[in-house]
Amino acid sequence: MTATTHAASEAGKPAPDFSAVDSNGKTVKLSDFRGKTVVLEWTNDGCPYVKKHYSSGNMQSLQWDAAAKGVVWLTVVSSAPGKQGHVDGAGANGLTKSRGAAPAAVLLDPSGAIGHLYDARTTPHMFIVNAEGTLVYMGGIDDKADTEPASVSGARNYVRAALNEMAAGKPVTEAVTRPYGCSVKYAD
Amino acid sequence: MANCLIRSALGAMLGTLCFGDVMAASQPPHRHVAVDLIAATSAAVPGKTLTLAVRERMEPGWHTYWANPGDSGEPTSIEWTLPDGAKAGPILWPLPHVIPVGPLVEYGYDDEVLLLTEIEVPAGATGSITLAAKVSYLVCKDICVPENGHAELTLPVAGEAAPSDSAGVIAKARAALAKPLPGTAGYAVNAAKGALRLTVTAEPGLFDGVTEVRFYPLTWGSVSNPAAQPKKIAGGELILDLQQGDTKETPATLEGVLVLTKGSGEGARTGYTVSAARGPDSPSAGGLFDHTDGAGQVNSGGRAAASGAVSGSAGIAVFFAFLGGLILNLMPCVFPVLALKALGFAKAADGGHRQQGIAYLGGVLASFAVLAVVIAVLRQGSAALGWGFQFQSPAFVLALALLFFLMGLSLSGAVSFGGGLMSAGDSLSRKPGNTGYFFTGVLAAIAATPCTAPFMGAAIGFAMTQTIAVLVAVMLALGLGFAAPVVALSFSPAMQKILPRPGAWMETLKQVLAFPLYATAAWLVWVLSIQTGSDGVMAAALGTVGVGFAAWLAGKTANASLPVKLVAPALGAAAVALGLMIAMTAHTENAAPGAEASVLKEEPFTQARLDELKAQGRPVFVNLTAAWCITCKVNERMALRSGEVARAFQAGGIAYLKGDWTKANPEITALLEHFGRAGVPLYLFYPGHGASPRVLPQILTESLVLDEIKTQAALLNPALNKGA
Repeated sequence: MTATTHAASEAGKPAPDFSAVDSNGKTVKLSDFRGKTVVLEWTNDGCPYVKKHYSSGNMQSLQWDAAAKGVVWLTVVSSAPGKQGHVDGAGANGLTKSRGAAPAAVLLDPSGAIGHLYDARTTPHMFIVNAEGTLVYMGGIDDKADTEPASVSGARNYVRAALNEMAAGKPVTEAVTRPYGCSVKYAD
Repeated sequence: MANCLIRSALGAMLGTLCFGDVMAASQPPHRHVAVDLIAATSAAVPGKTLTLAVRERMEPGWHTYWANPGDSGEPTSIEWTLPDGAKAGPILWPLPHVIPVGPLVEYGYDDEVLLLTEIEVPAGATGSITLAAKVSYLVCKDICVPENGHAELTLPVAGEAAPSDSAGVIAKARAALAKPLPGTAGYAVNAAKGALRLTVTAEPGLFDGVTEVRFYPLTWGSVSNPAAQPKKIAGGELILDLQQGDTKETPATLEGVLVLTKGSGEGARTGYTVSAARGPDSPSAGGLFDHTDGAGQVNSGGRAAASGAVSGSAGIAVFFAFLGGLILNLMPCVFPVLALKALGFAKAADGGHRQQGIAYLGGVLASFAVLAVVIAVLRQGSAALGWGFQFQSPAFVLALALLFFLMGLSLSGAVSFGGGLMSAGDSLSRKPGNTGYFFTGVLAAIAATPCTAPFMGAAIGFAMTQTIAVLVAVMLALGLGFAAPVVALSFSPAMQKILPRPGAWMETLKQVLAFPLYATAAWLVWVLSIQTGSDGVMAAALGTVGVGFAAWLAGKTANASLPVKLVAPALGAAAVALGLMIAMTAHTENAAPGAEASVLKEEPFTQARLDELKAQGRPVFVNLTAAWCITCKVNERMALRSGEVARAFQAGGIAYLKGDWTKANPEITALLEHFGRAGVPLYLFYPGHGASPRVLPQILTESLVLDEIKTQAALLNPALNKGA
């Protein structure tokens, strides 16, 4: 996965397709959702930045809103086995339940293949793919790069803004922002 | 539960209630960083500036972040509580380090860092003042932990302040801060390639001796963090190619810190604040990426720094070329010829030595000049060539083998030639005149090339990347050094007296000296066997028999009439021609690349395999070698064959890639060039986890290899688990 030889995901370009196994053992293919908006959320439940957005209810609220709008929310776990945040299917489902999260599916990516495909760097790192399969947003969840749950309330939530703009048929104004958080715990 | 999920200004509070178990884990009792506050002076002077430092001392392997943390992480922030009227300036960030984390790169600090801050002491301060800092930072290893530290300091207010105990470390930290660039910087964009080219013009000498260059962008977005930054330094100008970041933004000025590394150890790094104005777009921006070994990845700038020319001035290169030339006289592939020359002087210990010495010098210089021109021309033709390339031609190797064989025969007394009808090799021993010495010089120079590569790699590598004038200067200096001992011998009567008197021993010596020549021929045939396999060996054998037969026939017909006399050389020439023909058409499939058995589990080098291993974060040892490279063989036997090294490789999970340059291989040539080398051997150790490659010396020992592996493993150990 090198920057020169491997075109990283790029806003405005087709989102790289992938197929992955979800926490229930089902195979999920990105292209199966053509016609729908898809949100990709990289997560690691041990990461303090992820904790901030789940403990504040911020992430779940986004997921519920997305589900209500018919947006497909895919949570991706790219932590390698033995690394922080690595979960199996049961573990992922347990987290979804205990956190009251509402993703359409949690994708298990222990090899980091999907993470590398999208050049996902942080947890959280957010991507939005539109109905045509174009990557329309990549970056942070909001503009408050810290671990204080209190900062969520004053933050500008880029994902929410993008989803609202898309729902209104407008182009996404801030298509690329700085992702912040812990590094994705890829295999060494 | 759903109530908790409604977006709400009370989100944080609700979250705490609903997800208290998650919250409980976010404040670990154990701290990974010790924070304290130190001052440069023992008192605060009203109306003056006081320098404080927040000192972060990390547990081994943990790190905190620079102002721009890179791909992830968060910089330290300080919230000051100061007396009324006092003001704190911003953090004066020390030079960051590259922290590779898998495919990501972060910028930060490990071990210990001093975050200097200047405090304006109010003019009306009296008694004592208390300065308190709430320090918030993210500290990461394999995981990240946000921590808070509180530190405070009370200083007496005085009219004058003496340096405190901490004055030294603070002064040192201040001296190490980035300085304003003594020059100008600009950048160009090549959107098609997603590349930026930073061009820095600085005062003379700023880039002298620089081994590594890294540009740390001050903000996220415009510049890719993990991408290599290939550089080119020419005169007072530095060109650094960068890859565009996520936003592809091209601001009017690109801000950052340029860190130059000269040598190693403390004080080796100097930083300059760079504010590069955007210039016109340039299609050449990013061009340097084409010469890096295939990857934008990785990392600490080491590899990026290694690309481009070996820096150093032309004068130094010429000097080392001369020195290298001197050393060449001691090399085994020169020794036989040199021995012959000493013999020549001993034989005719009368006048005329100076002329012979000069003729020899002329021969050497002419050869090196011709070679320089040939290389220059071929290089212009963009042929991917390296030093010693002539040894990659089987026909050349075979011809040389036969020449050495014939010279050996001559020395053995098995044959004596008349009339100088044969090759330049003949004139070597038979024509002590000036012409003979000229060709001796020529022959010595040709034979020297495989030894030149190992010893002169850097200088020639430098020359190859320079203008033709420098290339020629380096080559001639090489020749000058090479010819120096013989010239000195011919000039100095005192030195000549060291030479033994002529006598019967000469014939014995001559015969003994035949054997190094046979040995050289045998070695060349072995080289040929690797290049062409059994067909080539057959060609050499047939050629040798033919030459031997012709030599014998020449002796038998020495007193015959001229037409009969010509039969022998004609037969010899035919045998040589036949041999060459077979050698040239020999199928390379017969080649036996694995001829060298090794305890180490080796894989053939390919750039793709190297990239793959690097991407996996595996440590890799790369050995670029060739059958005709004696130094390479010696190194392999002395340093790489031992069981200990094999065990260390296995224990460290080190992949061993061996690149055989016996035959031309553009990928290996490219890698050599990337490290500023024109020939083998080249030993590279990639410690893994994205750490920059280490270029090992050209003379290896077992302990050196073991130490290197150990040291790099120790250095990496903290990095192994770096997170965030």
